[in-house]
Amino acid sequence: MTDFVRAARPNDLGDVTAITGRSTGSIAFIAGGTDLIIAHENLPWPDLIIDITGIAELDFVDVTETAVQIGAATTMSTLDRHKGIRKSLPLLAQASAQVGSAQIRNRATIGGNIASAVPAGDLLPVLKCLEVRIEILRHDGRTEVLEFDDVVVGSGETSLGNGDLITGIVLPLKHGANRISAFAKIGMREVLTIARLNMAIAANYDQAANRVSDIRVVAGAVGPLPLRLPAVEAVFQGRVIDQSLADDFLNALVSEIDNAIPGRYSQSYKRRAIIGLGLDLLRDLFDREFSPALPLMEPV
Amino acid sequence: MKHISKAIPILDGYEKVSGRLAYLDDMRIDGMAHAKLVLSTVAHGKIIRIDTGVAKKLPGVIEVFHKDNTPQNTYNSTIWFEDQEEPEDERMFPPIVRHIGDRVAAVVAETAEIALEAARLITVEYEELPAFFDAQSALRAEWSPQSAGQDPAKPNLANETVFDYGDTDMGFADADLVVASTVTTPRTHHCAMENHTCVAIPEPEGRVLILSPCQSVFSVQMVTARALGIPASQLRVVKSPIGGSFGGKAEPVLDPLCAYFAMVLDRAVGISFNRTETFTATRTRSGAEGTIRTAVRRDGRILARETDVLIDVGAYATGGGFLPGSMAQRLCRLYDIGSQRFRGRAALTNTVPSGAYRGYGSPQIHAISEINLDLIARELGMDPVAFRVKNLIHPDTVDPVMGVLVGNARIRDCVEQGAERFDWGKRWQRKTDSGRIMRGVGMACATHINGCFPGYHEATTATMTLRPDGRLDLNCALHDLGCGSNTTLAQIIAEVLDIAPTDIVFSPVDSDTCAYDLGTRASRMTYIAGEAVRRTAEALKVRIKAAAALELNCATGDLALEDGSIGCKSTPVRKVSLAALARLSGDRDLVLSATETYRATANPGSYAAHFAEVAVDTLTGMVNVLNYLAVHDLGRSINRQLVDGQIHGGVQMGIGYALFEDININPKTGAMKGNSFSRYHVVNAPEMPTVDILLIENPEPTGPFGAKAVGELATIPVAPAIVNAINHALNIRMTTLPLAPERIVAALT
Amino acid sequence: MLAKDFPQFRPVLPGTRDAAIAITLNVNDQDQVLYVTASDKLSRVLRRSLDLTGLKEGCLEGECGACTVLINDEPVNSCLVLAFQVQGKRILTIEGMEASEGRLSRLQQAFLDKGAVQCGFCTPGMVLSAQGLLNRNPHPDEAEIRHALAGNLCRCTGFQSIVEAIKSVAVQ
Repeated sequence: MTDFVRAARPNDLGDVTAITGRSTGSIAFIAGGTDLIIAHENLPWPDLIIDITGIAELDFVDVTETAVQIGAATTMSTLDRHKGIRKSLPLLAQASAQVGSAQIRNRATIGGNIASAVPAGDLLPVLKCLEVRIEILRHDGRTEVLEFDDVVVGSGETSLGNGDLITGIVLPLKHGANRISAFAKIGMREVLTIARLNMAIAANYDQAANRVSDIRVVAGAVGPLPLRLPAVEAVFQGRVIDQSLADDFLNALVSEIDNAIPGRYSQSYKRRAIIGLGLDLLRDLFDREFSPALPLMEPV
Repeated sequence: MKHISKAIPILDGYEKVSGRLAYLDDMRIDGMAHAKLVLSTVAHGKIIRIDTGVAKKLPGVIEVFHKDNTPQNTYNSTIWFEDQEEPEDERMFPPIVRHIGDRVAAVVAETAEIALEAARLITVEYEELPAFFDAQSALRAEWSPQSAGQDPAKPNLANETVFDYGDTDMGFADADLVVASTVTTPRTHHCAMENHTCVAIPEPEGRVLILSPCQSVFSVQMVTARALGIPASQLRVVKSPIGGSFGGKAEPVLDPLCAYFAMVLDRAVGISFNRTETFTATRTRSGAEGTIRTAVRRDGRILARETDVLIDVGAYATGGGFLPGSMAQRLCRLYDIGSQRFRGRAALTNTVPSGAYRGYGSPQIHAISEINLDLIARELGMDPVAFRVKNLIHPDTVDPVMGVLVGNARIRDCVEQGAERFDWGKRWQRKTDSGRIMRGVGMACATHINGCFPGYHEATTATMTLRPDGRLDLNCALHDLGCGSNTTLAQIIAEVLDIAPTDIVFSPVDSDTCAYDLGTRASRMTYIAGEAVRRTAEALKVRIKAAAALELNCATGDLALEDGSIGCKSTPVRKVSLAALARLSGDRDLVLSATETYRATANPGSYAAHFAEVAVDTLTGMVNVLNYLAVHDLGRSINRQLVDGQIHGGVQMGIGYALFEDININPKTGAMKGNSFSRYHVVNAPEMPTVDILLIENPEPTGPFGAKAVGELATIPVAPAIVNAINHALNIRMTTLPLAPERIVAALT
Repeated sequence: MLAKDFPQFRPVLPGTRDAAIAITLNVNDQDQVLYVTASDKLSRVLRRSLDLTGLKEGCLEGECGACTVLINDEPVNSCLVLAFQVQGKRILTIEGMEASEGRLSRLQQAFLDKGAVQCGFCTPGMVLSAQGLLNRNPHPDEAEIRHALAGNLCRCTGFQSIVEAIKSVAVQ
């Protein structure tokens, strides 16, 4: 350990490896800093702070016919405004637009969102839903591509070691133009609020048959990790999209809450609120209104 | 009128919008040392040991202060004049801490960073004592080291006020219906954007200068003198620009510490709280639980009412002892009720202390009462507006608690004209939704005071001097808290003397040079200080005319002031500018100056009726305030832009009070969960509806140009109006504030 | 480049673990060289080293927006940026907003005229957030304005006159 905190501002990933390779102390990578700086308000900083916002090769969005690649230092604002992302991954654009305030979105990055692994983080369920793979540059210069679940492993916890850097995400666009998706969240306020529940859904929609396939449903803020909900996905199997399916979908969501947070103080709230969230998602996905599954008002 | 009822921009607006105005934390003070406090981590405990050894060794640390090396004088931080006797239970650094966030020690160091690092190196050992986090259980305690109460058998009872008038028993006997409800209001925080801060600077002859964003320099002076055990004359207090207060900076918290450190170390010392310290270690709005039983006749007339309020004032007595009485006073000035019985109790708990907060008891008691009234209307099957109109007071009623007239109380106009503007009848009936989103409307009335009369020292002294440059010096301890009260007062003076409001020079608020004043509290600025400066301006006008009569050789009755000059009405060429007049009078050894003391003789009520329409998501419990109308009886608006600003801000605070705001004390540990802006939600721009405002401008004869207060009142009816609207939308009876999403969902399932 | 590679490196602040780093940046149209430590926040450095005290530190967690400045024309919370990260960047604070010395910008004047200023503590951050919005979207509607201000708290005005002020500039 040195007796003072050092800083580095590398310009490319080669420099990063040069620094991490010869560093013996603890390392923090910083990009937007919107989580990291708050976390260190009451905690000492590690020996070395490496700013990655000067690395051009980490700040890019590449959308092709077959794949999307996003550099780790890409901000929420960039994702929200990027035409290609809006077209190919509207889910990601939508969720990015709902992170924090304008000031936060101008700084917060996709890599930082993964590295912070905050259970209520709005991007996490989306990234899991999209089956992104995460690119890692190990401290010794090796590169690896890992599944989301192999990186984000707990509340505020990743599998990354000291000096390991998330460099970006990659996902193949294996679905066609009929892929639909939606993201919704509930907090205390409409805007600038920590999610108490959030959810991302993506599916292939055959409009003529009015059916979906290849559906993925992922909820956030119901546990330490974003939770894929296979039982909810199963509801859609072979069914046409109608009110009866909506009823089963909403009931399945309620069961998932009951399974995820049994006995928690928030359970009774979230098992009802998730119906609202589910209805919002159905409306966004299929562009029509469905009714709630439960009697809305118990007699008083 | 030329200057009254004009929307002129706030006088110090340029400094503010350009970022040039230096608030205390923006000032560079030569050689200033920085203090960082160590705050208690236990809710109630005797300090066994404070280990400062490591901290003191850190280079740059100047001194560490704690209970063993500071004065142990007891004091009450609410006092505002020299001999005031209030329960004294606070110490700079108490040997027994009484809440999480209580003051344990302070490090003074060369830089804020060193002070922070050193503060983290201090270890404290406590012997924990039984702690109470709610008023009910605190009152059951038979022993407590905190014995500021009146009754030794009830150590945590800080005050009990009982009041009644009329024959309540008969009222209940004659009633067709009795409706009871219990309403709980949360502990909330002011959230002024500027955190608490203070600087003290040694002056010659052992005096100390305190710079403080405060509501009364004299209060700071008196409280600090008691805490330090020195004569008040040893202290000089100057108000610094203030980034909002709302009552939060009414009681000096940091000032005694800063002054003591500066005195002992003989150098300037500053303390700047961060947001969490401001939440946990300053003041809050007390929480209240109030049960009302109301006896009504079938036709909607209220015959009698019985109110029992239990108030959680937190760890120290502060001004909590006044709360029961204040609540009674405000409760009994709104409706014409034949008989009432009131009991209010203030209990000490092991939680953050409470203090003044916009409305001083009014938001709590009006929420308790106005929610009850809607529940009565529902039981009677009456429209809540019609029900209220049947019972509202009339102008010039004598208020039964203080025995003073309520003045030109136009609450009926507020309700009737407001209902019409809001299209209340139609919106109240139109409740046909049955889907996920339910709409409802609600309204509430409220009243607040104008100054402290008939209480202590309700007077303001102002001195005005015409300068040779034609501008006017105003010497008066006017604490503008940022809402533009100085602009309002300038307009009043301008109206009397017909000079430009921008030509009035406000003296710094300095305890060495200003006459004693209560400062900004109790909605007294426009009504009391406004009348004081109006009278002073009138007195000066007489002198100006007398001087001008000599210069212009003209009868005083023939003189008129216009646009910064004075001239003969009959001979318009005989005219002299006020600047020239001041210079000419100087040659005659005549200073054009006037001093007046205005001692209040009345305390009329300001009144308001607020109307809200909400949409409630019955699944998520989220509430959207769709429409909002605020109707205010303020006599006359001096500056419409500032009045609107007060009302908009009041509504914003009130919506937060109704829906989100709660410091959220953990009932098991006493820890404050809502201790930062990420955990204590205030209403932000997307949440705010556009607020429609209707002013009832029917002058109050005792107010300056007919004006009375609006600022505190603007927040008082908001929460009950919103709660009533939600209860209307959902046909439920929610009475625990805030109506957070979980609570709404719980009420529906 | 590591901090120790900076020629100006020197340990500072007795008792702390930080070392000094030199950065160059442009603040309010002036090039500056600043010496900062690795963990210094931009807000603190602007306030202390450059005396730009218009921005305030209200919460240090990105909730209140009182510390808002523009970095390369975009609003950010300067309390959540480390100073050494802004090497080579262009920063605008409230002190750089005036059209010319003593003459307010149109946006600032609108704040003043519409009563959008009360205690003034949030005002610099609010003005810069509004400017950031207008840089990107010169004709925002009310919903866009309110959304853009979500990260700027004001406890005095209820936001109404602030929204009015921005609207009045936006429609022109």
